[in-house]
Amino acid sequence: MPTSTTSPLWQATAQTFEELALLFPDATLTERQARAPLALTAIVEFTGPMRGRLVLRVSAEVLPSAAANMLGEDDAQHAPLQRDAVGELANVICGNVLPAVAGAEAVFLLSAPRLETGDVVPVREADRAMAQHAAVEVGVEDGRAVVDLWIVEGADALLVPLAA
Amino acid sequence: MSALAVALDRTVPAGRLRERKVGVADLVVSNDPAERIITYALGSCLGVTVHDPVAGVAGMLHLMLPESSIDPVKGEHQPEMFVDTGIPLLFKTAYKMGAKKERMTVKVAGGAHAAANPDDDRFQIGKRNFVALRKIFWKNGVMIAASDVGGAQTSRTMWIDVGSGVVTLKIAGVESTL
Amino acid sequence: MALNVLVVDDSAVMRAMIVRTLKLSGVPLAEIHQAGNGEEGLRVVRDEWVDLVLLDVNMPVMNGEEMLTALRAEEATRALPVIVVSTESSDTRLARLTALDARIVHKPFPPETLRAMIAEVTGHSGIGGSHADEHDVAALASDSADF
Repeated sequence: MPTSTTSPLWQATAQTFEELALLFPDATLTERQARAPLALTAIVEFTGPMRGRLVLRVSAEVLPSAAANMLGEDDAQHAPLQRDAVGELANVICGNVLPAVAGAEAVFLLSAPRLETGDVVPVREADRAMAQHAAVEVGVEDGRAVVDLWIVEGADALLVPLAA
Repeated sequence: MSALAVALDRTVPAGRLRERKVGVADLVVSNDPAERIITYALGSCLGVTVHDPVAGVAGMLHLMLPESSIDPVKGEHQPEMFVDTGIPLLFKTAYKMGAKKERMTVKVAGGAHAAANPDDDRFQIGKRNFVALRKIFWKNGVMIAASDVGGAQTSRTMWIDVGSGVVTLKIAGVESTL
Repeated sequence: MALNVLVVDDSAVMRAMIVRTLKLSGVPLAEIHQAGNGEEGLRVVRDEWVDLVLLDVNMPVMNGEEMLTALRAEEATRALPVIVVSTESSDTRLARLTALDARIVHKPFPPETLRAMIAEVTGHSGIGGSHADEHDVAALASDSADF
């Protein structure tokens, strides 16, 4: 079931893309956007009242524009900066969605974003069975971005259902 | 201090101001302190004003859409319609009258949702306009001094008095200074 | 007097965004130092004169809260102005940071919000113009191709 646009994960994703990357996220993907292969994965692990991870995957089309917009430049072909930019987007989405689902009192520790080339969803099968999961997919430029939020432990502390 | 004194000298009582209307996808820049530049019924469109108190120049752009790439021919013939073509035109027209970028104050209004419920606004033109505006401003080192954007089906009338640079909004009959 | 500023964030892109906002803020700047975590940040504060710190929270090696605590424990940096620029939204943690005399700017932020906070903390108001002085314009001239 796709995650609703009123869900905390959607809100955090949209706000982060709009305000940080200055890119407008489309809720409805064009055929071209939906086909775009995912080229880079950023993983942020979190611990606190819940343990889990937020995974942001983006297609190659998103990389130069996200980095260039954040830096205020016309172009950003430098791969390390592109990776850094996507890592920061993942970090900001994660930092904004957690209080929305776990409450304003909860204190989380976020790992530094880990970047993997390609389309990687690092969830063990054992975790997958027990995890609470929400996903958001948005069209960005000529490509797309997919955000997965996995809560592996402590999901009973959720204040807001993830996919609602 | 001298800049402020010059600006004050140019202020003309509101009752004696001549109105210059900015249409949809239109631009007016003036250095006549007896003029008021005004645009009506900003919905998802954005009104962008600039003012240089030293040069005594004020301008307003009423733009409709984020990117001229959707209609490059229109972008060429009516650049005022789009963020990426209209904004450079607004600034360059003001420069020709003596305005300097580092002295210019920029204010923004409009960008409302087209539907009563933001989730029903499928095309989200208002929001797209504002994201595109932020992008071109950030790339060109322009900060927004004040803005009033968004809202569900909010209709805004916006004007700037050339002499004083004061920007006023009128929403549902209520006036406020931006 | 021109300010020496330290920007501490593990993201190079975020540091560049903050530096750009500083240059656009109208605050007179001397040197801008950068550090990738709290430990590097403390080293800069020890070795250089710093008037203002812009500090992330979630960082490897030493996080921003630990760095802030260390700053407040030293006589020389007890009153050093610190603006925390972070995704941190936990009321509990924000209260701890505020108790350590930090001001907070939440990520993602429009540059105007960070500029207003910088102006408030330093007492230099650049609000109004797009740039405060010619120096800043010159600094940005290379990427101001459009207008």
